[in-house]
Amino acid sequence: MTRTIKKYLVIVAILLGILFLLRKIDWLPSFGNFFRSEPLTIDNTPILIKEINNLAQLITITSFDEVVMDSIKKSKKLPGTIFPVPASKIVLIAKGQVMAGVDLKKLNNEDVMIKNDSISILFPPPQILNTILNPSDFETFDETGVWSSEEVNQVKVRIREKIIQRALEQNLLFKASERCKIIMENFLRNIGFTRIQITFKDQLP
Amino acid sequence: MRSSIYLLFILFILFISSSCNQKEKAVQKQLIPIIKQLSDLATVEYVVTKIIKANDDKTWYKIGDRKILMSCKASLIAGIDLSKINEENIQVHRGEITMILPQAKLLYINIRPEDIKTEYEDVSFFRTPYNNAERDALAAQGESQIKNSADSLGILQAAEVNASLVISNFLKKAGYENINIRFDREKTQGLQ
Repeated sequence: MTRTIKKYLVIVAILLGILFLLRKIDWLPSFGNFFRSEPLTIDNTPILIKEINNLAQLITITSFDEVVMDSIKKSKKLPGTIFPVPASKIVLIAKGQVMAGVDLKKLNNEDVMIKNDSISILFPPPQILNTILNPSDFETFDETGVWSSEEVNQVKVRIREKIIQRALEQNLLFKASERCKIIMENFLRNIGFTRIQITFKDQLP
Repeated sequence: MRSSIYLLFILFILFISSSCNQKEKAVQKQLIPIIKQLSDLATVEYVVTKIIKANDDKTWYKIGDRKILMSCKASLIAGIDLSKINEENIQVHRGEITMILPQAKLLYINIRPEDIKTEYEDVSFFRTPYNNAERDALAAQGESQIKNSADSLGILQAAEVNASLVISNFLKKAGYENINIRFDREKTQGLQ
């Protein structure tokens, strides 16, 4: 009996030794890799052009911000029972950009006045031109329960509003108009004007 | 002796509390938005759509399918960097102006959260539904594919044509009649 057990132990030891050696020379995958989930990748589908819009936007300033937003769905009772369903929670971290500047399409002929080497331009008021919150800008820090795309989108829209509000608190539009002045003054000086006056419609007395 | 120990203890507590406050302030400082100055003239917007399709059936020990189909709409904005125009790129001679503009580049891509929709989801009994982190990761892959294929959509050529028009119109308003606009072909630029 003891001899048989010893025989089996030797066989098991030899097999383990062989497995160890095969693993060492990378002939066998590691157990970690063996049970690893395959990465989820999307198929390469075509991109369709829906619209082409001509723009004339002078983007003069951008605000980078990072915002954390959470949302909780209160617990409800399971239908027909007294057992509660646990509350669902989601915490998102988002890195967004707010871009501001001037829409030059709103500049009319009568807004430009020229006399010899003097030029005076009345620009439209600076505005937020775009807020960028792309899928790669989000990180889900915590997620419990089931959250539909629509429910998460509501949280993301709140994040966007917060990012815009924080950018405006930094006086972004005024900074955009100041930067626009510098860019346009340089440009106009380069094309031969020496006396330049730049004003914005929202800054008129 | 005892009073000096009490005094040291109070000083220690004050030191700890003051250092905690400093840390809080430091964190608050980091959270203020960072403002960056730009000089980009956006001249064209391409609105594109894409279907994001994934099937999580490649892991051998997971039983059952898990398919998802999402649609997304994205805006690609391209234009030129006005800060690269300097005196050397402009020649003025008797009412005639020649300007060399920098090459157009993809300025940014914008995919609004509400423009990504889950159209179809099929999850078998033994599998868990897609969560938000997974949906975002798939959408981020879609974003990357759109960004990489921007060149093939011809957006940069359209941006240069429009940039030329915008600058010409502006120069006409500024009193120039003979306007020549060319593009600097030395460097290639793209979204960073």
